[in-house]
Amino acid sequence: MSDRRPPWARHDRASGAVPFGAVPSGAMFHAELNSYRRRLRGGVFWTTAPLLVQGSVAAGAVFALVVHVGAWPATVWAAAGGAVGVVMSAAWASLRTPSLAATATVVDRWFALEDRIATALQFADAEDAFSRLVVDDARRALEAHRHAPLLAEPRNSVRWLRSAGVAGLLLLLTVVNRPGLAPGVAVSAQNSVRSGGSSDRQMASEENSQSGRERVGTSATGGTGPAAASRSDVADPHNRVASDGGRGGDTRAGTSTSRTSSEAGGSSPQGSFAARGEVPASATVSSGNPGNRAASQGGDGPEGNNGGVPAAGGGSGIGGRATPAPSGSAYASASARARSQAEAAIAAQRVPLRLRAVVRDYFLTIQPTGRQ
Amino acid sequence: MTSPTATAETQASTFRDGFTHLRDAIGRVFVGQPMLVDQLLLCFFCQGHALIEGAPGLGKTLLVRTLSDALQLRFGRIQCTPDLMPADITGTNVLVESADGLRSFTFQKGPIFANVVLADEINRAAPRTQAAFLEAMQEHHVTVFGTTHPLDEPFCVFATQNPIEMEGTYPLPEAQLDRFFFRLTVQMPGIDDLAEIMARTTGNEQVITQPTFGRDEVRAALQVIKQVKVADPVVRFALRLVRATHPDIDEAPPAVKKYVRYGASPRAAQAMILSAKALALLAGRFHVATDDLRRVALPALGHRIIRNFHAEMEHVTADALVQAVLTSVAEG
Repeated sequence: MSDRRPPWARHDRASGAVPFGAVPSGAMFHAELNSYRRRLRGGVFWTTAPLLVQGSVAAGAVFALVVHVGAWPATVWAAAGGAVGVVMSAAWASLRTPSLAATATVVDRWFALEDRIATALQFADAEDAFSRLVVDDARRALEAHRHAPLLAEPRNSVRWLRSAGVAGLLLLLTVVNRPGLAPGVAVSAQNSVRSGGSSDRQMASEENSQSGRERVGTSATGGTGPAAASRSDVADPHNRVASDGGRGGDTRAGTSTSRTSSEAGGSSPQGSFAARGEVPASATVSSGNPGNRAASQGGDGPEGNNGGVPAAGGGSGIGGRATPAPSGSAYASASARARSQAEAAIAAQRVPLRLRAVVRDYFLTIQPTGRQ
Repeated sequence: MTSPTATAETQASTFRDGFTHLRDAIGRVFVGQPMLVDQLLLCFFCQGHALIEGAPGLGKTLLVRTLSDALQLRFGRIQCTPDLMPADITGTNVLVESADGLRSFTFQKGPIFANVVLADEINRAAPRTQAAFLEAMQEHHVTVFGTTHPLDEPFCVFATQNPIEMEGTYPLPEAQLDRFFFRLTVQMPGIDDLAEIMARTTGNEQVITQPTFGRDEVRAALQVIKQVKVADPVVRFALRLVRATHPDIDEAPPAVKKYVRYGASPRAAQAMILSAKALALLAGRFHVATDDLRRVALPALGHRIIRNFHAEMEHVTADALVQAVLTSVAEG
């Protein structure tokens, strides 16, 4: 039966003697160099793992936030992302493991070994005296540098502490931002609806008003009820929602208003303005007024829908549809009435000074004979 | 019984000791310039020929003469002049009359039949006389009247030339320059070295060099040098250096493309690797490092780079071009 052990391992068991010509220097050199190769592979892993794990955890968290999959909490998705990152790092390190020749070159340069290792690798299996001397010399050099850092190996504790910090932050964000709620908007909407007070309404209506024109209406409002509705009507004669809301919500826009207010918890038509102002105000501003830039919050209304705040929870009402603008004499009379009321509001100092010119320009612009 | 590795280590140690002894022996006569002395000895132990350049009076001849004195080898000196004939170097057949009155032609060996030959001011010899050196330097034999006569081993030619005074000279052709293993340049000594030279040459003190290094030691040294290991990446580095001296090759640096007419031959790589092996042994290693190649690149490549007209007009030296090559070629 043939001995399958390598030549240098075939020693006499009784005496422990290694046969002549089977000096294990070549094999030992290979083993030593392989340990450096593993260190290089580990270096690749420890270098890439923090980045990949962080990225994967972030991807998992974002996935959980955006897609809202199933019943799994976001933490599970983030943890799964982290696990994927570890696996990817290991795979990358495995792919990027240098060959023995490359390892020899790297070790030579890093420790300034004057090409000892590369030469020894080439002559490791040769039997002549000079080759053995070279291999022995290289093996000694490798052993001498066994515990020296190789290629600025990363300090794992620092890297992982940093990674843990970033991952923890992401997890926190994931937990806080539960699916279904857009931060800020939803919270303020809920608060304002719940309180129902005029100050809240004022605040919300100001939040809702994004343009100067809209601010005219909201600042003129200040409260609920018919007066508020009429003031709103003054502010924008095209704003059928406001005027209709004042009349009790008997138009399409009014339908939307009452729907919105009922969603928000308000039940009276008089409260609809506040509701319009607070809740994303889809009904209020998406009323089809082409001049109403503040109609942005109207969600999916076909016109006037380019505002800044996302129309969470309020954008899909009927009021989102455009209301046909009045024409002919009706438009002229409505315009004149609104203009006179605006002038009255200005005279009564109810319009801020900085907005008065805007208000006047507005009515000049929309007057029936003027350019629209 | 001595193990093969112990024998190899002993041989390497013997070489180092012999080299150090020769360096010290030369240093007792030739003052300063240790790098020049080391390069000359490297060239000698690698059995290469050296072209020594320097202004008159800097000790070129003294350097070679001192080396030959420290060796137990035959030394021949040829003072080259324009009327020197090839037969004056190689030897010729002369008519000899024997005791019984018979006359016959007998080959009379010239000064080239020595172990160490000094060709002083070789650029003053006529081209055909210079050509007589070609066969001897490359083939280590001479042919006279159809008969080939082998030269003694070891055989080294150390030629000197004055690069300043070119009137009445015949610059060596590229083919002959390529035969030289190294080109060495003797620099002007510093003030301390000059003072030491004055002290030695103007007093009564005579330095006698004891010849200790024989033919067998030189042969053994060359055998040891040839056993030194060179890894493939190191060999490739030497080859890249040589290729980078050719202007028509992509790897050549811009300076080479601009100023070089023709680059170094494969003999340059042979010279670099062999001398780097000797350097490695001297450093106590049994393998060649790329740094060894860098150290011998200048004397091995400098005279093999043929500069073009622009380089001569702009005074761009071959050494500067070699430095450009060394800078541009990366290891690995």
